[in-house]
Amino acid sequence: MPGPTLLRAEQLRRTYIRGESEIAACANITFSVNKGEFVCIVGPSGCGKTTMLKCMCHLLKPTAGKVFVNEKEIDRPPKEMILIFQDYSRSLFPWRTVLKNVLFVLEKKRLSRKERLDIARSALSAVYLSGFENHYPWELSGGMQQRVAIARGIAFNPDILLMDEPFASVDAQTRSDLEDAILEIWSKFSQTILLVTHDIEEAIYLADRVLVLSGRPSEIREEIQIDLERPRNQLTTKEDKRFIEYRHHIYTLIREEGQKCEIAGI
Amino acid sequence: MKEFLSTKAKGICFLLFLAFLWEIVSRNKLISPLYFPPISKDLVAFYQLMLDGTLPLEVIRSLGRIFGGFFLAVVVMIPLGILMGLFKPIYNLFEPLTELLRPLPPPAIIPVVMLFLGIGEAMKILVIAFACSFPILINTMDGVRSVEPTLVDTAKTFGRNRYEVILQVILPASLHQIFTGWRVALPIALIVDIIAEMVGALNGIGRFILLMQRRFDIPEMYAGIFLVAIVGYALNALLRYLNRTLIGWHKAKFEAVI
Ligand SMILES: Nc1ncnc2c1ncn2[C@@H]1O[C@H](COP(=O)(O)OP(=O)(O)O)[C@@H](O)[C@H]1O
Ligand SMILES: [Mg+2]
Repeated sequence: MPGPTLLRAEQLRRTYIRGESEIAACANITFSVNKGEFVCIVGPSGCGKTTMLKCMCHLLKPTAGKVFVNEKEIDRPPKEMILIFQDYSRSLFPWRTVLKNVLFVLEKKRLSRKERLDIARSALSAVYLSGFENHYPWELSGGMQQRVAIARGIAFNPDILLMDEPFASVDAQTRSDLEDAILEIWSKFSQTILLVTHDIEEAIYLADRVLVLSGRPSEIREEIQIDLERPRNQLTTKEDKRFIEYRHHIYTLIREEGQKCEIAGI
Repeated sequence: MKEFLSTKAKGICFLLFLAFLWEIVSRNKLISPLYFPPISKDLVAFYQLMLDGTLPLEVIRSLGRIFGGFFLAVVVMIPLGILMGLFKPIYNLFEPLTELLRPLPPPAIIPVVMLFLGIGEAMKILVIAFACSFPILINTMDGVRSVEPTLVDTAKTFGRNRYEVILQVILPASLHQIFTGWRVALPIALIVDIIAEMVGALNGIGRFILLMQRRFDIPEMYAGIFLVAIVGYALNALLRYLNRTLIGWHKAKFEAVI
């Protein structure tokens, strides 16, 4: 049951200037995310996904286009929406312990000290990091660091969580664990999540809806509703006939895009 | 730890050996004891001058100037370094000036400052501040520039405004580099202070050393030099202590990565 529209991007465009030439990273991106939805955007590496996400939350100024959160146009990083970065290890404050990294996001909220601690602790336990509160981020493995970044996101409890290839650089086992952890958090806290990935299976596995990006400059090429039961299961869901059909379809789309890029010499 | 102790003990033994050599060389008049009195005599002079309060008084005056100049430089140059590191127009405004002044050996400006300010405290504090300014400024600027942009973006996405980003991210992230500036600046402050006091001062440890030399009170002169060495050592210890307490994480991270 789709709720009201929470996030809407309208004709979003961003170009980078390199010397004389101008490179369009994303062009003409239009889509919306409803409350409670899990939307995945899938596109090949370098097609402008990170650029698009940073524009969505105004960490980069879009060259053109508008972003609406709760139907209000944004002109600064909105309070209702936060981004979990692709290079998570660089997004953790190395001078803060794990717990203090999570507390960082609560410091501006009107809460008592005890409430803050409770929220931070439960966010850490949601990503199975209890017991590591007093470690420093650089004392943890990559997958654990990524979970700290995710814990920070859920502790903040935004209306909408943007995630930039959150599992791209962890090993396969950690990856499926983290996918399931995210799904659990999503349903437990009725989150709204927009997740970007280059991995087709991951997108199908997680999402209610998958948006397929074209090659650079990226546009939304196609929108696919995913009708697979929840809760999803790493084995049975991925063996489902429909899953395989989705994968086939999206794979073909992306390959076509890749060939187009090659022909155009991009 | 055991190894550390034994190496440290070795170093101290070597030091004692050198002192012993000094004593022998001087007592046997291999070098004129007039200019190079036995270390025992120098140490006695040191002890007496410490006891009668002469040296402590001189050193307190010198330390006052050193820290006065140093903090003046910190207070002005850290904000300026942050601004230059963050904002291109401010960088462009100040960069040619700092590049021109930086290679100037600080003692060279003493005559000019003396013309305006005489030989009072203001002259020395200003010259010391000048000398400390560049290492502090340049390291602060570099530190700010090399802050990981993702950290800044993280703070922004979690609702921090510009000032909060500076205080809560830029400053702690560049603290170790800022600290490097301090570590370079503080010994320079000591050097420049001694020179400034030798050139023009009514008191202070630098003037004391020169005065004793002119009066031919040679053991007293060495006593003054010993004290300067001790001050230098103490300043270094202070920096090491601050380093541990302020940015212990940085060292630990570095060691963890290696
Ligand atoms: N700061 C930048 N300056 C110039 N070009 C950039 C910059 N950031 C990204 N790009 C270019 O924009 C394109 C899209 O990058 P990005 O958004 O990071 O893609 P993705 O996240 O999909 O891998 C790439 O071709 C990249 O080279
Ligand atoms: Mg990316």
